[in-house]
Amino acid sequence: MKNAIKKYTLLDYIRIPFKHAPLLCCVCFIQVIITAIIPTLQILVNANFINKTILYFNGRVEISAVRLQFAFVVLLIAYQWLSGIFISKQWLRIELRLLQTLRVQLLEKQARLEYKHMENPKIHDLISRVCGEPEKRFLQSLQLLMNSFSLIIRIIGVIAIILTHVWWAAIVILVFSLPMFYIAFKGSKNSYEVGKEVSQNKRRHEYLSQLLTGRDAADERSLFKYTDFVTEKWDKHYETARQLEFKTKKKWFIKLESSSVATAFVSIAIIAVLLNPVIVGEISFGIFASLIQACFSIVQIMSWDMNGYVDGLVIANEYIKEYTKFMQLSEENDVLTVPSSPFDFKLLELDNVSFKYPGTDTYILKNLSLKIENGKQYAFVGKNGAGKTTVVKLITGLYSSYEGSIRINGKDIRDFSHKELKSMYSAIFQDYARYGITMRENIRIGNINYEDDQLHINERLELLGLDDLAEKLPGGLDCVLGRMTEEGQDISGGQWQRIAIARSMVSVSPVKILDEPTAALDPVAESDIYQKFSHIMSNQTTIFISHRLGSTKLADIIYVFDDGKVIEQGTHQYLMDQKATYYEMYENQVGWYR
Amino acid sequence: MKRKSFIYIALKLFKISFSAAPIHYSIYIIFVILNGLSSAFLTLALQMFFDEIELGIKGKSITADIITMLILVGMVIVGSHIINGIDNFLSEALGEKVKRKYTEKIIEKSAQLDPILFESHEFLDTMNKAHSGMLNAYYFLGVSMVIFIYYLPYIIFMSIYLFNLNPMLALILLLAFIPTMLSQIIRTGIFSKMEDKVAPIRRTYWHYTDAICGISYFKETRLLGIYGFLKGKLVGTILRLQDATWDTQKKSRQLEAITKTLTLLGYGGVLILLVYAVLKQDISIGAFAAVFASIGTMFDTMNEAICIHINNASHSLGSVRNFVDFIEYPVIERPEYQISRNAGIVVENITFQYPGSSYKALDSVNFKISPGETIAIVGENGSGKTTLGRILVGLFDPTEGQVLLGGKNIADVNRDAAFEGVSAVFQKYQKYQMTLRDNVHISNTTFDTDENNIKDALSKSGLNITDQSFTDGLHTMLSREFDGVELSGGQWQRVAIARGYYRSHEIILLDEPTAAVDPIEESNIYRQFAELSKNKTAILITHRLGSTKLADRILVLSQGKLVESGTHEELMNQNKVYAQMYIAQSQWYE
Repeated sequence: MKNAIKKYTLLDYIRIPFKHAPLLCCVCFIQVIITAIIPTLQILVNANFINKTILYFNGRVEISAVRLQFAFVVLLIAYQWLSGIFISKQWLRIELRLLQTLRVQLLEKQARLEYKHMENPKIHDLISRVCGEPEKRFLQSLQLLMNSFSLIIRIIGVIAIILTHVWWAAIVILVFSLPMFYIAFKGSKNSYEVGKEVSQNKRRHEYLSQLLTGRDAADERSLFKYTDFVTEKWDKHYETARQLEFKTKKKWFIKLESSSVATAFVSIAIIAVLLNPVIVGEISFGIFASLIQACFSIVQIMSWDMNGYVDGLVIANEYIKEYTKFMQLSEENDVLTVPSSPFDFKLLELDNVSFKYPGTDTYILKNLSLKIENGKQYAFVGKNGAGKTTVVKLITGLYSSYEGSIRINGKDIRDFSHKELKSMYSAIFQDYARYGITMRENIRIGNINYEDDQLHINERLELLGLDDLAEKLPGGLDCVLGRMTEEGQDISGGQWQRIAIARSMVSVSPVKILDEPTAALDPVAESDIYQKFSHIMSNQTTIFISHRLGSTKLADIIYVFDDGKVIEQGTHQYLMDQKATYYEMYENQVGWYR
Repeated sequence: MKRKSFIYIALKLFKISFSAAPIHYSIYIIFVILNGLSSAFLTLALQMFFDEIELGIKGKSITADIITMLILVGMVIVGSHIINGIDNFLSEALGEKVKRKYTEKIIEKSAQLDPILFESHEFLDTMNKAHSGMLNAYYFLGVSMVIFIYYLPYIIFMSIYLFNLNPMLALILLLAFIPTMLSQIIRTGIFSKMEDKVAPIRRTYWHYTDAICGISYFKETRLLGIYGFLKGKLVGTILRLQDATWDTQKKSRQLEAITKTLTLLGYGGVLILLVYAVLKQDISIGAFAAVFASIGTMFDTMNEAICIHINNASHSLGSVRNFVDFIEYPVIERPEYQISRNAGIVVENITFQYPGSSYKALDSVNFKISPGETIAIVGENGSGKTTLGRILVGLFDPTEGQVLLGGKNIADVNRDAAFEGVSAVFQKYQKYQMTLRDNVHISNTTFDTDENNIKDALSKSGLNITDQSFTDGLHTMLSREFDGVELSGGQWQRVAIARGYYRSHEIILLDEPTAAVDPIEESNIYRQFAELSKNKTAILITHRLGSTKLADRILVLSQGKLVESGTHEELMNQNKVYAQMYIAQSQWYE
C-alpha cells in the first residue's frame, strides 16, 4: 500500500503543532506578536521618559509626569522579562502534547512499515534520523519560525517610526540591508553541504576512538597492544576532518562578518540621517536617543541571532524533506492486529519459490520447493546462508516479493490477512526478543488472546526448569526482567532462551517454528530441552532449524538446504543410505563423538 | 579520591588546552579581552556623542565635533563587531584542536587501564560520564575563562565609568545581580536532584519504543501481534514522563519568577538613581541618555553570564569532573621482568570475583600445564571457563592465589611484558573495519610488516585469499560501512585465528570459536587449531565436547570449581560430570 504522495514543507512545522495543540499554539503565537510589538512601544515610551525628564529639568512639567513615564518603562520591561516564564510553560505543554500525539503516530507508522524497509540499512538510518525525538524538532522549528517572524515585525516597527520622521531613510536602509540577507543565506547553505562531506571522515575517527577506549575491544586492545597503531590512523582521519571543516568555516565566517559589518554601517547611516532633524528640532532628543538604542539592539540581534535562524531554517528544511521520505515509505495493511483464532491447518506448500532481498542481486532461494503437512515434524538443515531462515521469513508473511507460489491449504498466502497468518505460526528465532516486561508477560505474549488461567504458565515453568528462577526473583512472576527498564532484574542468556521457549509452548498456533532454539544453553540443558521438545511437540506441526544434526534426527522429514534449494529430503535413515551431502555432514559431526 | 575543586579542574583543563595550540590560544585570549572592553567602551563613546549633540541643539548647528564623535561611535561599533566575529571564529577553530587533545588523553589513559576495570559496571559508568564530560570540557573551560577575561574587564570598565559619573550608580548595579547569583546557586542544587527522576522513566520509555519498532524486536513483535499490548505500556510511561518533567520544570519556573522580580527591582532602582543624578545636575543629559541606552545591554550581559553560562557550566561540572578524574586515574606501575614461557603454567589455588560481586566465578582452582601441552577447558555456561581463560592469558589477576609463568607470579610483572609471547583468539573477537592486512597485523604491530608473514598466517588459518570476496587481496576493506566487503561468519573466524597465530607466541588461547559457524566449518577450525598448536602451549575453551579429543588433557569446571581433570578416556571411566555431559551430547548421534 503506497501512501498518497504528500510533500511536507516548512509550513508543516506550523500546521502539525497547531493540529495537535491548537489552543496552546494560538496562545504562544499571540505572545510572540505581543513580544514583537513591545520593542516598538518601548522606543516611544523611552523617548517620552527622556523628554519628560529634560522638560522637568527645565522646569516645564511636574515630577508626576516623569513618574508616569517611569512607570511605563518599568511596566514594559517587567512584561518582557516575566512573560517569558509563562510562555516557556506553554511551550513545554505543547512539547508534551506532541509527545503524546505526533510521536505516537510516527511510532505507529514505523510499526506498520513493510518489513523489507527494516532490513535495509539506508532506510533504517533514515528512520532513526526522522523518528529520534520528532516532537522536539517540530517544536524548535516552530519556535524558530515564530521568532523569525517576530524579528521581522520588530524591524518593521523601528523602520516605521523612522519613516514617520524621515521618509527617505527607507531607501538608505534597504540599500544597505538587502545584500546582507543574501550573503547570510548563501553562507549557511554552503556550510551544510560540506558538513555531509566531513561526516564520512568523522565516522571513521569516531569508530577508531571506540576501538581505543571502548569496552568491547578491551581484551584485544590490552593483549595486542595496538593503541599506537590505531591512534596513528585516528589521528590522520581526525586531522583531515578538522582541516576540511576549518577551511569551510573560515570562508563562511568571512562572509558572515562582512554581513555583520554591513549591518553596523546601516545603523551609522540611520544616525547620520537623523542628525539634522534632531539639531534643528524636527525630532525630539528623546526620540533620537531611543531610536539609536533600538537600532543598536536590532543590529545585535541581526548579527548574532540571524545566522542561528538561517542555520536552523536550513536544517529544518532538510529534516522536513527526510520526514516526507519517511512518510512515503510503503506500509502493510492491517498489520498491527492481534492474531485471529487459529484455523484448521492442513498443508503448506512452497512451489518453485525464488527470492532475493530487495536491493540486492543475489538470489537466496532458487526454485525451492517443499511441503509441510499437519501433524508432522520437519527439520531444515544446511550451511549458514543456505536459505533456511529466509524460508521462514517468507512463510510468515514478512516478505511478499518472491517469485513462485506459496500456498496454505491450497490458497495463495498473499490472499490471507496478516491477522490470519499470525495465528498460524509461533516462531522462536535465533535472535529471540527479550522484552523488558514481567516474566509472566514475557511468556503470556506467546498467546496474547488468552487469559492467564488458560495458559497453564506454572506447568510450563516446571517443565523448562524455570520454577526456581520464578521463586528467586523479587516479585516472582511479576518481576520485570532485563536491565533495559527502571526496575528490571538481569537474568542469564540461558534463562532468556527458556522463556522464549515457554512463549512458544503457550501458543495455540498450529505450526511451531524453532530456529536454533538452544544456542545459549550448555550441553546438558540442551539435551534436556530436546527431550522435552519431542515430548511436547509430538502431535504438532513443527519446523526445527538447526545445524546440530543430532537433534534433527528425530524429524519425520529432513529438508537439506544448499545454495537456496532443497537438495535432499527424507528421514534420517533414508538420507544416510543415500550417502550424499547429508551423510557427509552427519559423519563429520559424529566423528567427534566416536 | 578526594573531590577535585572547581579551580583545580579549570586549571588542569587550561593546561591541557593551552598545550594543544599555544599561539592560537594566546591570540584568542587577547581578542576576548578586546571584545569585552570594546562593548564597554561603546557606552563611553555614545555619551561623548550625545554630549556634543546637546551642544549642537543649543547652538542649532552641526559642529565638526559632532561629526568626529559620530565617526568614533561608528568605528567602535564596527570594530566591536569585527572583534566579536574573530573571537567566535577563533573559539570554534580552537575547540576542535583542544577536543583532539582531550581525546588523546582519554585514549592514552584507556591503554594504561587494567582490563578488569572494564568488567566493573561502576567504572564503565564513570567512563561514559568521562566521555560526555570531555565534550563539555571545552565549553566549561571557555565559560570559566570568559568570566575572567571578558565579563570581568567589562564590569570593571563599567563600574569605573559609572563611579566617575556618580558613586552611587556603580553600587546599585552590583546589587541588582546578587539575587540572580543567589538563585543560580539554589537552582543548581535543586536541579541536580531533579534530573534523576526523569532519566529512568526516559529509559523505560525508550525501551518500549524500541520493543515496538526497533530492528531487534520488529519481526517478533509483529508476528506475536503485540503492538496493542506494548502501546498500552508506552502510553502509560508517557503519562509518567509528562508528570515528572512537568514537576521538574515547575520548580525551576517558580524560581525564575522570583529572580526576575528581584532583578526588576534592581532595574527600577537604577532608573531612579539616574533621574535623580541628572536632575541634581551631577551628570549631563548626554550621560543620562547614554547610560539609559546601555542599561538594557548591561542587564542582558550579566544575565547571559550568570543565568546562561554559569548555569550551563555548573550543570556540566559533574561530568567534567569525571573527565578529569578519569584522565588522572592512578595506574600502578609494575616492574618489567623477563618471563620464560617455555616452562609451563602453574595455577595455585586461585579464586576470582568480578568487581562488585561476591559470587566466586572461580573457587580454589589448582592445576599445572606442562610446556607444549594442549589443554581443553570445559563446563556448562557460567562455570568460569572464559574467566579462567582470561586469567591464564594474564588479562585479569586472580583475587586470591597466583598464576606462575616460569616460576614468576604474573601479577608481579608489568602487564605489557607479561603479554609478550602470549596470543589469543577470543570468543567475541573483533571484526575491525580495516583492511584484511590490518585485521591480521593488528595483533603484533611492533613486528616487521612483511606481507609474507601475513599471508602465511592467513593460509594456516585456512582462509582462501584468492576467493573473489577479496577484491583487493590483502588490501580489501572489510566493512560495509566504509565501502568494503561483508565476510561470512566462518571467514571472520578464520581471520581472527590468523590474527591470533600471526602474533609470535609460545602460549595461545582459543575461546569457543563456534558462534556463527556451521558444523563442517567448526570441525575444520578445531582441526586447524590443533595443527597450529602442535609445538605450543595451547588452551582450548569449548562446550562442544567432541572437540576435546584434540587435547592432551581436559579440565572440567563446574560453578567455578575444578571438579575433574584427565584425558578423555580417564574421565569417561570416572563416569561423573564430564561423562554425563558427553553422553548428553553424543546420545543424539547414536
